[in-house]
Amino acid sequence: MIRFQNIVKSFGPKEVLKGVSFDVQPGEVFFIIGASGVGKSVLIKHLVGLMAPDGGEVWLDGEEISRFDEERMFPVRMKCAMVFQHSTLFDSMTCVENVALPLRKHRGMTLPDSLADARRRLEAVQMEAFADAYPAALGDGMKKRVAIARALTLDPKYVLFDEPTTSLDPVSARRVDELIRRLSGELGVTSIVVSHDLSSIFTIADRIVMLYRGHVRLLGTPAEFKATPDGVVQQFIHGRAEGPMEL
Amino acid sequence: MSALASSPARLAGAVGAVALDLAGGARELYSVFARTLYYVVRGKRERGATLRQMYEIGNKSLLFLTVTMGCIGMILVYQAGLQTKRVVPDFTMVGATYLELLVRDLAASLGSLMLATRVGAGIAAEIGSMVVTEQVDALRMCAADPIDYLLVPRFIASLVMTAVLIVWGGTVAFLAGGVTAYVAFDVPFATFANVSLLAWSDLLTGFLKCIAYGAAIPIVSGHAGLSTFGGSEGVGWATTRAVVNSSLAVIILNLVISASTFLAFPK
Repeated sequence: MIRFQNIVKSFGPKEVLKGVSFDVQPGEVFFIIGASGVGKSVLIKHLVGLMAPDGGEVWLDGEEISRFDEERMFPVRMKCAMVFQHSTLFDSMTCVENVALPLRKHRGMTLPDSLADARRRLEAVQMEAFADAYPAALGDGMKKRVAIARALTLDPKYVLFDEPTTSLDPVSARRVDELIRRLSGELGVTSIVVSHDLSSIFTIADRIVMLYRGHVRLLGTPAEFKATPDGVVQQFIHGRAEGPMEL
Repeated sequence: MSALASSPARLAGAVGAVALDLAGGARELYSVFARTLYYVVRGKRERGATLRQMYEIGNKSLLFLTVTMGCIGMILVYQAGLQTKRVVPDFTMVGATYLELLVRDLAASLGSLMLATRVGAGIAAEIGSMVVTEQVDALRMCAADPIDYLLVPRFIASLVMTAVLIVWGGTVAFLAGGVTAYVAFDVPFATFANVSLLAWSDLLTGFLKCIAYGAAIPIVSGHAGLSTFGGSEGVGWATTRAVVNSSLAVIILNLVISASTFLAFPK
């Protein structure tokens, strides 16, 4: 189980997170929503040690991990994979080399073994034909699929998706949604998804948390979000320009 | 009255903030350097990564360094010749003095200042772009320490290629100086190529400088790249910081090594 407990994070004078707390249950597809700049991506980076909180605790499977050093984070990162917003494939490597990197670094596999395994992983996301292509030759949707294959190479228990459908065409976006749902349904993977994509949110989310002005505004199921009388939440989920929401 | 009273306090605060900032920067640089040395010994490098960087740092700087060191060599000898003509119209020791200066100081320092602009900017821009596009975060997620993966190949390549380029640049500057001395002042090359003033301590000093500058440029520039924040503007700032700080590092190290070796090997 994942628990964020009273997380506080500032960048200079700007206090982004002002005491955020919630739990994520095993196997669920959990969405974090909120306006741009509210600290959604910042929050999930705390879970894998890419950022450290100024205050509060991050618990993963009964262990407080927020003060771990880089080396102690390695097992956490084997358990929690992350798909970044811009795919973040390494330009100097082919797709298959990108996918093989975690296998070599985390598992210490040899280059030929890791490449063979990586090709199988690319097959799973229908990208085997582009295994030897460089990322620069791929479209955004293809890069995203390779990035997902790389994130899944270590068979993680938790996967963090940072705006996985941003910049994708609707068909590619729905495929990514299906993949996230399948990970949860078939493999029991817990997914935490940062997203603005309302159709994804209400199609595949088990639960949603909305962050607003550094705090949790509402935590609940999609049905609870639709039913809430909270004007801020209603404005956000209906994408209205006018309303009580302050940006 | 209260404004007057608060002025010294404000000034002290500003000076303190700058001092803390400098101390923080120095601590971070030391940390990057220590971790780089650790991974040079303990890290597992990607096949060909260091060779690729040697090509980027070395081969691609060759023409730039040849042209700049050749021009500098000609200017230095021409100016030295003019001064000599005015004071003691005897050119027999121009080449010997120039060679001593070149080996002890100028080849390494001027060559490294040139490399700080080309190599330092390149390292900071490349690593800085990776930081702002989250590729460095992705590396950390793959259990690849950015210092080990990005900086160590550049560090080793810079150590080797800076020394090679400085020897080459020094040779070009000396030959260009020799041609200038012959054309402008009728000094035969046999007279110009005078090694009588050259001592082992000069060679040692030059070698120490090659090593120090070769290590400083990637460390300072890598640190600038890794501490990039923001978007393309941040990369621009990181690149500027890398060039300025690498150049500053070369000059400060020059002072320290020159002073130490003058004290250790008095002439």
